[in-house]
Amino acid sequence: MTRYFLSRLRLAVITILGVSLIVFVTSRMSGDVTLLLLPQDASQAEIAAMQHQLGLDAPYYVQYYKFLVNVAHGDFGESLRYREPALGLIMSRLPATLELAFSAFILSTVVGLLLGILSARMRSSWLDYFSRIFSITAQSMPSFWVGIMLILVFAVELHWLPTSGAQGVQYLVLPVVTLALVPIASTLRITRSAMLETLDADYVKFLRVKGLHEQFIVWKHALRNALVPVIAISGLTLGFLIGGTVIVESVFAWPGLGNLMVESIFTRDYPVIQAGVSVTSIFLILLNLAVDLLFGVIDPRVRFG
Amino acid sequence: MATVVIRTQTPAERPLALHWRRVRRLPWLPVILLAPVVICGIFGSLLFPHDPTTIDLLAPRKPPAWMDGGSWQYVLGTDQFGRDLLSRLMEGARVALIVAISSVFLAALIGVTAGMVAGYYGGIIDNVIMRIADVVFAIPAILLIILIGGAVGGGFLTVLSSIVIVSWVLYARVVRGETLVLRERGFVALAKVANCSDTRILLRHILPNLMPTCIVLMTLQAGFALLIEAAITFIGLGIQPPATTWGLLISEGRPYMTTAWWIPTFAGLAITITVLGTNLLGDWLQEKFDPRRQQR
Amino acid sequence: MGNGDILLQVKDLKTYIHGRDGLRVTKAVDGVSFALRRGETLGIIGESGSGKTMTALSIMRILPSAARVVGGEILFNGENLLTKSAAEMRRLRGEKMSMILQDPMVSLDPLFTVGSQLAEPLRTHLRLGGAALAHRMTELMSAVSIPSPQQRLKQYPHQMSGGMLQRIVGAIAISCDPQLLIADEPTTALDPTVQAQFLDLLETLRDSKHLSVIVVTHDFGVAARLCDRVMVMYAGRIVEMGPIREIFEHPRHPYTKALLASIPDGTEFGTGRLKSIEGQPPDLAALPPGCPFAPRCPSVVPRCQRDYPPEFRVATEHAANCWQVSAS
Repeated sequence: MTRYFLSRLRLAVITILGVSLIVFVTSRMSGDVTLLLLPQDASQAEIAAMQHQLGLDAPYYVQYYKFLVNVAHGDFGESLRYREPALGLIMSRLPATLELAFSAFILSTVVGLLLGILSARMRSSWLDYFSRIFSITAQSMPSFWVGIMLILVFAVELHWLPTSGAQGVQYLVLPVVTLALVPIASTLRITRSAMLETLDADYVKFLRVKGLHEQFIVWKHALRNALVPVIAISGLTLGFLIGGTVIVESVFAWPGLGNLMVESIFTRDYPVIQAGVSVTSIFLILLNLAVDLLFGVIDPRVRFG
Repeated sequence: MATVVIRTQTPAERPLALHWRRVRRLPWLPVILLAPVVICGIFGSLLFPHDPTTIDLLAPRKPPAWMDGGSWQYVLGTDQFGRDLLSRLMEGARVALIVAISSVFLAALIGVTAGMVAGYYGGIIDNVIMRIADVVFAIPAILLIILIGGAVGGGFLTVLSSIVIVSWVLYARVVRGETLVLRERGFVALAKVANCSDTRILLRHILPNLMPTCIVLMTLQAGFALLIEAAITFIGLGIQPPATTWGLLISEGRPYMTTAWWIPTFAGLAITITVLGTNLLGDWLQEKFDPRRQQR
Repeated sequence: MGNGDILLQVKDLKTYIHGRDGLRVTKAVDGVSFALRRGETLGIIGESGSGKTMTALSIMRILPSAARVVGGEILFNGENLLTKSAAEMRRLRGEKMSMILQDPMVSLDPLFTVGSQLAEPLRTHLRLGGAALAHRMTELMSAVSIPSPQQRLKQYPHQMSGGMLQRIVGAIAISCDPQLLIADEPTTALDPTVQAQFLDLLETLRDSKHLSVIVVTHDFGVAARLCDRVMVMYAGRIVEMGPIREIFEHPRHPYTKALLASIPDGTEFGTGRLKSIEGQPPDLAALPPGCPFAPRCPSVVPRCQRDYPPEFRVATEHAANCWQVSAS
């Protein structure tokens, strides 16, 4: 178990370094910062002086090293628009995003598991057909269009729910449903096929030989086995959800990280984009590490393997 | 211990039953769903009921023909500038086809090459390629696109490169896994004994065996590309107006959704139908190539 | 023989498998009748696809969803199992009748310790708990001769060898002292050295617990080792049935003869070349009229293509379904 964890940890560190490299490279692609800071008619000498001051004339590996040191101290530079540290800005918006993402995660896991198990149990029933049609359709719709359609139906036409904003639980419903649609579909598909495979397995046949209750077999043995692949993709699901908030937040004017990121594209506020991408990526990498650990807890083959 | 070895083989199916099953198992639904996009994409300009760029300021936001105030002149209504929505959707099909096909082929080219090389050579090359893939996988696709698009600005090339960058990883991972298995097979060893070059082994012996998987992935990714295009357009880094894409139609129609719901609705439906078609086709192909999965 | 001696009687059992399109019907078991006495061991022999496993699963009533018993009776202690409710069957399974599956590596749930899986039937059927349960589990582990049972019970299936797992499966199967034990290819998945050990164990268990056993196998060696009587199945039907010695020394059905001929020459542990039977087993969804073995039969007569041969008695307890037998 320790060796398993250490190898995962090593991979996580390498991946975080890789992310930092990508962020660094794209920041150098985003154009010359000096030109943004200096007046239009600055002379060649002034530009050179500024570059020297910012360390931009140093070799790239030195620049990258300095960038890493800064990032390690939480310094991503200042937001060009708000004139405050980019990281602070990101952190202040993070809770709203996590609220959305985790609500959607809980919804998609519960609904996806339940529909997946039931459609595997009642194979070829109307519920099974509904689940299959639902899951393939949900995975075929652009999420912001789904958001717009939901607003059109439930807010504009029926007046059941507010169109946008974040002043209470009722504001959470539409964004969470929009966000959860695809993960519900993928969880459902994986649960269903894992469950079908498990219910066909010899050990389930042997559990029946033992004369155990069918409900006991399904909910204790088959469910636990079907959970393994679902947990295996849960890191991926969370990544998808956190990425998805970018779109969903701006459709529903949800005051989170994603909304800030999209605004920053329009205002060319690159430090904020860098900080946002770094923070979410590192967060997700650590989350995946936790999922790997959880995997070891539920599956003895990993634990003792 | 005595063992009875008896040749067993699944009984041959009767030809008539086989034939019937073959006809019934053709992917009729995906074909029907995808036909409009392909036809409009190729012959679009010959079929337009109106020029998709002609502005009719006297008829902005006209509803579809079957609603009050609609007319059969504009079957699906008009957009905020009075352009015929149906014609714009057909024009969008052309762009969708270009985006999907070009991005899928580029991503497959890069991803399959990387995957084959990583799986075949192993060692440090494998490690480097797979760690790069890990990094790309670790950053949510849309954030990676913002990072790149934020740096270089929007446009067709941004869309194309964004889709390629986020989707080559999938090909690379799957292909690497299959190559690892294939390179242990007898025919690869034979080819090595026959002194074939590595390039020849990869292209002539391994690649053909990867084709079924690649075709399935490419079909599924074609639909995914359209979803990404729509998302990129929505965050302002996509193909810029006055071009017409389905994603752009939804974004442009969004401010008018309370007064002209048909603009975003039909554009979104066009995307949904097309992606649904590729998803169903991909599933069908997967079953066809791998009959063990038919039960699922 | 009195009726009280008979534990299980199967009469004209028919189990069909319906294809997914609903058109193909595979007659996996097609009119099988036999009886099993208390304390007796019966072998069911045939190649794969002959319906022997389907017969076993029909008796246990754990058929896959596509398969259905469409006719016949299965009398267990005089009661018809086919008319029992699911709940009644559940109470019988594991307690009065039990089964060992072919591959021990996949017979146990990989996510639970073997101990918890051994405890399940004891809790469900015998309502054991606490010290009594622990005592019984240790007892069962030593009955299947597993060393240091306390530690083994806490381990997971993937931490054990196939031979040990099959012994644990055996312990689970006999945990509630059943009257009937069905062993479906119990040694096929095991290493040759472990096979003999497990057969010894089965024999010991049978004798000490007074079990009636049905051994499903394709292996005459296994049958010779354990069985009092064997029945040979082909294409879902019984083609020959009789005491093991009779069948070995005077096989009457050409299929039985072919099976016996395919055993390597010399001793039963010999390593001689294996012979295979010419031709292929028939399509059970499209059986021709007449004897299904006719296309592969070396001594076929015109009548075989036309009529299915009835059972011809050749000696006490020995019968075969073949026109050749009637002629002699």
